[in-house]
Amino acid sequence: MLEIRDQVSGTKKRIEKDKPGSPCPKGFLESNTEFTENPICTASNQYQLLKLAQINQSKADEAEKKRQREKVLDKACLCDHLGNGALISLGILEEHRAPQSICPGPNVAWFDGEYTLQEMVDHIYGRRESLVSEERPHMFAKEMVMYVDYFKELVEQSEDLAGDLKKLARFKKNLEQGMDLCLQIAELQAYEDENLSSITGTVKEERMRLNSIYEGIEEKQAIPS
Amino acid sequence: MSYSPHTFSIPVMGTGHSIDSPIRVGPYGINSVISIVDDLLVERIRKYYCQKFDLPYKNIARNEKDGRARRITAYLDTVQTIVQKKFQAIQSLPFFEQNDKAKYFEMLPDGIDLKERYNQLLETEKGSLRDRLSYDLSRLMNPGSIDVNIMAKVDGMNFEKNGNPMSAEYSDASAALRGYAQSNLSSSLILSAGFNPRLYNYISEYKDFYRNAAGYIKKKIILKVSDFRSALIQGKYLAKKGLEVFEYRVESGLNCGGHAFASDGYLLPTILKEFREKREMLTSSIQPLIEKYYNEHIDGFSPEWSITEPRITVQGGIGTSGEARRLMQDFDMDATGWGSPFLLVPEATTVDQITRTLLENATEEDLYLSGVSPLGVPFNNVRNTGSSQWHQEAY
Repeated sequence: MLEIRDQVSGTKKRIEKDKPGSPCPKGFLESNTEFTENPICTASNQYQLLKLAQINQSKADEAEKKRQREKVLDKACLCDHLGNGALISLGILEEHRAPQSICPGPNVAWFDGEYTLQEMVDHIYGRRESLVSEERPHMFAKEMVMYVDYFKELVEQSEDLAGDLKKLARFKKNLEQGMDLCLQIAELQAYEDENLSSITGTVKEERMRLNSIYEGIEEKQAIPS
Repeated sequence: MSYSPHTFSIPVMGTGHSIDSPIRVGPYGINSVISIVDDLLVERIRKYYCQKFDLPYKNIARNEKDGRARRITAYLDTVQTIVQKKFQAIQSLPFFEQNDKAKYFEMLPDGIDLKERYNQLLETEKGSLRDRLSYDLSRLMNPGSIDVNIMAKVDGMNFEKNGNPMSAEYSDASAALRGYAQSNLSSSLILSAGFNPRLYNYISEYKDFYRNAAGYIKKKIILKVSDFRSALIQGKYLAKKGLEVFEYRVESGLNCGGHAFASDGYLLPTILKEFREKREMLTSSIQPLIEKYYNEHIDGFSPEWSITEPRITVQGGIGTSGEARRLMQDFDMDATGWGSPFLLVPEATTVDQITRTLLENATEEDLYLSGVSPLGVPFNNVRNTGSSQWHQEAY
């Protein structure tokens, strides 16, 4: 799907069909000036054709080119698509004419039905049986996992681990202090509908995961500990 | 400006998913936030609602002079008209029937004065006392606030047809601000996604953001912040222009919807603890700057005006009543924000059926921090949206 064919010598039909990116009908996120004097959007057809051509002509190896292309093609026409759900649900646009984007937080995973306003408000105030399962980890636990995932990303994406080491070490230290605080909170009495006990186990696991990611850097860098 | 009796609010969601939330939940006294980034979307929604509520509508064309600001003003004024109309209809309903007025009161948090009075009314026998209580209670009802959000980072310059750049007040964020400033709304402006000096300076050109003779601010400023330090810096910056921050809205860096501005490894409890310990500074180090500004530039800061401490609220990933209680009782938060769960409440947000079903069925693996945003900022997303299918098919 992401194989790039020659953009210049193809037939007219293929150019029409193989159009990456969006025509950029609104332009609120135009901020890139790599190729143009006035900013254009990285999700636009204009930018993506230019960028893909540049990648194709670069000296990078094929695997690296593939990674770069995927990153380019991953961009979504957010400023237009985020509004389409509203237009469809109000009956202003037909669904097939309006690709919808949405930006939920990960918390929505634990809500799995359609609710009335009153049901949600009663849930917020703890006046009904909780809408989410008791298994749902505490929001502090979830955030901690996300930050360790993010730390892993930072390490993997780093192009200069030695140079980034100070920053990464600080990040790790802050995260560990946050984990300590979470453990203190976990010692307190839980409120009703609060899965406080999920925190302790998560801290234990995530501390280990964080350490092993960090040790990975040290091994690569052969830093004396 | 009405103060919601609720201890939660519905934050902005995307450019469109909370675009008409005040029309939906405002009549029930719940605060919610409209994104005013996309003025073209706003115009279409205004057309829809003008038809629906039989209000006059005249299109403000895409290329009209100052069209962006004018479309936003026109939409916000329309929303206000509709919220008032719907609210008054609820207010004038009778008590002792299962209607929207009962729903308004049943949804209120327990323990507050308004709810206690309602419970008292329900136990009162027919007669003059019940009539008086009913009358008083109806008058104490208030609609929720129609708040607006501007992403300070989305502030592209615009160009004339001949390619010449337009002046700074026509930049996207400045024009959106003007659109809000010129509306009739008395509500709050939420500034998110970073510090934008050009925009912050521009706020000072509109008197609705300052106290009137009675010490009342018609349009209040809410800053979405990631930590205490940035709250203090931005609060002081605005205070030097005489602008008071009504509320600091703290959001988890990663556990939130949409653009995720990760902290330097600071988890939410750490950040909130600092707010709890130092929140007094947000008044003590800012109030003198406000008074100085009023003394030097306006008619002075009246001793009769009440100095209000800024509210501190929190949002991002809150999912149970117990967690909300933890945040309010242990961290002294004044209120909580609940976003994503409301995407599954059709009475509150605009989500098309297919996307809502996608969310209902989404597991933790389907929800991920994506690279889809053209801003280059990590973006919380769900897999297999119509948008991602469209991008793949188009290619």
